Amino acid sequence: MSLLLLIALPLLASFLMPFYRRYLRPVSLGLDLGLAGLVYAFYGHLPVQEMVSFSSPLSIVFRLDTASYFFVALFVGIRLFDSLYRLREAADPSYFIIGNLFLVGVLGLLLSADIFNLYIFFEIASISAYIFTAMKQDQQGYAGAITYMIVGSVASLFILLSIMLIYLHLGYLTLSAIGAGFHTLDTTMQHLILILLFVGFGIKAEIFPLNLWVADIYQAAPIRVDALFSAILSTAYLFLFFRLVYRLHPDPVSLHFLSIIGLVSFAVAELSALRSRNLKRIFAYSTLGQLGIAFAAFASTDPMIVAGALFLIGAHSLAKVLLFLGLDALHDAGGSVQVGVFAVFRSPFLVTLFAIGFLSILGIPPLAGFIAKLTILEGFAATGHYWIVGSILFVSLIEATYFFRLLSSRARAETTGGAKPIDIPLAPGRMFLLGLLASLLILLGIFPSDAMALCTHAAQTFLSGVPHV
Amino acid sequence: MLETLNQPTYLHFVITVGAFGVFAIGLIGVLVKKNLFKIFLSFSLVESSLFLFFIGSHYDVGKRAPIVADGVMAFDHRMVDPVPQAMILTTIVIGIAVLALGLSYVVRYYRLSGHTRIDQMDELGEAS
Repeated sequence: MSLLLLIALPLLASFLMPFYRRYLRPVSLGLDLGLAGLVYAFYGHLPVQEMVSFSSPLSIVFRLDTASYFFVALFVGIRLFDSLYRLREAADPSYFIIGNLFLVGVLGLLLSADIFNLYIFFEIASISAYIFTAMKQDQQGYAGAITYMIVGSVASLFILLSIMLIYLHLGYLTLSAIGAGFHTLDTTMQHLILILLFVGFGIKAEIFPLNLWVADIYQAAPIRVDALFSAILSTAYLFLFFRLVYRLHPDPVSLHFLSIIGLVSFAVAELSALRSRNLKRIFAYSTLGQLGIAFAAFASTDPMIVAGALFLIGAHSLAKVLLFLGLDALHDAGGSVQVGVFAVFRSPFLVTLFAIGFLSILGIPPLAGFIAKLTILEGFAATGHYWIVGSILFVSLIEATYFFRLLSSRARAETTGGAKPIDIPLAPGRMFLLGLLASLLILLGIFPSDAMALCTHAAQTFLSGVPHV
Repeated sequence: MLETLNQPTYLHFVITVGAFGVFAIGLIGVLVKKNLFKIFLSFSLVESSLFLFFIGSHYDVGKRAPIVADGVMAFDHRMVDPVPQAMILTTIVIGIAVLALGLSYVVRYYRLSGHTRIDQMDELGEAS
């Protein structure tokens, strides 16, 4: 059993697609089940490290520890869910190929133990995300993809230059060696490299003020792709950002600065969502807001708060998949993606799903988001950061305002009669899957102990070697 | 004159200055130009300047290209460091792929919108 299989299987499946084009749906499902089985098989055998060596000194190092395992399991799980959700649809070869490349890029980001291979997988994930954005093949899609490519190219150049400077001055590329040797560089070079890495990975991790482009991309991309961006891509870049930050042993002032940036990201995103009328943009801003909280929590370097942040990421990913797929069902039934559509569709089932998704993101008991936010707030309170607790609670009120505004617009429409209602036909299989996702959010909120134990273990691994500030 | 230029200090200086010049031209293109083709080509120039800088910084006079073929079984001290070469080769491939994808999207965008100007792209945003 090799870590390489996680990368090689989706790649091979993409390249060999012309040979089994007629059986694409079962092969796609089989691939995702196989990957899920592989991920399950690694549980209990962590950490795993493998080196693919060509002629020395050229090699690629992969490493799977509990922290990266958490994300790998989450992403492969979401991918399997996506496959099951699409099971009754006509097979789409381009979606299959790009989806596999996307997965390869993201898993490579999580597994790579050297910075240049991180860059390669970063580019694979980015290229597949550009293609995903243009998938509708309309003017808006191409405009979004071009915007994304320009922003992505800037990020890519910053990262490339930082990698070159690291190799030029240290002579190695593995993350552990860079972490150990970084402080031997002179201070100016350290700051230059840190700024380049911050801007490069900050753009992709969608940190304020480097995230002003994100809502446009979500608006341009198909709704199901938005679900993958929100639940997988943004989260993977956030993990990557802090993996590098922790390796470089930042000082307390820098970490404090990062905490503030996370909170500002949260506040600006929620205020932007409040004034937006487009549901795709609202969900995009909501993603930025939740990632802002996770960002501030990761910057704390406190194991309890980081565990809460990991739980938050898991709960947020599930809730966002639920919300985006709900929105997709609305859109497929002929509705628009403007806020007004929320008042006119007729499906008590979908209303319940939206409510569960919204309430989990808000952190209302007994849902998974509540446990995550409670853990983070308790952690900040225990470390005496009451101003952070106050800020998160205050901005959450803004978040609550626009979510409840959406739900109340529906209640108002039901009372007054309003516009002509839209029926939402949902296949029983899809209802079951969406219901399963909603149930998972409730179950994780009521019985969080096992998931929280995994998050705590992952947080300890993630923070290993990082001095607590 | 040529002997002097062959000394590592001068050689690296000339390459760094040259790379910085190409970088500046590309950066100006990215910041000033409004045509999407020119913007993508400017990005390519900036990227090429980084390749030049990195490969040039690792070049030593008298050393050979690190190619393991034709009877050469392993890298040795008579070759330049193979890691930057491998890195840049990979990055060139990625850069070409991104450039090709970007330009093909610009062509498709032009077919639908009738223009290639970034300042006229108004398909995205709250009002759209």
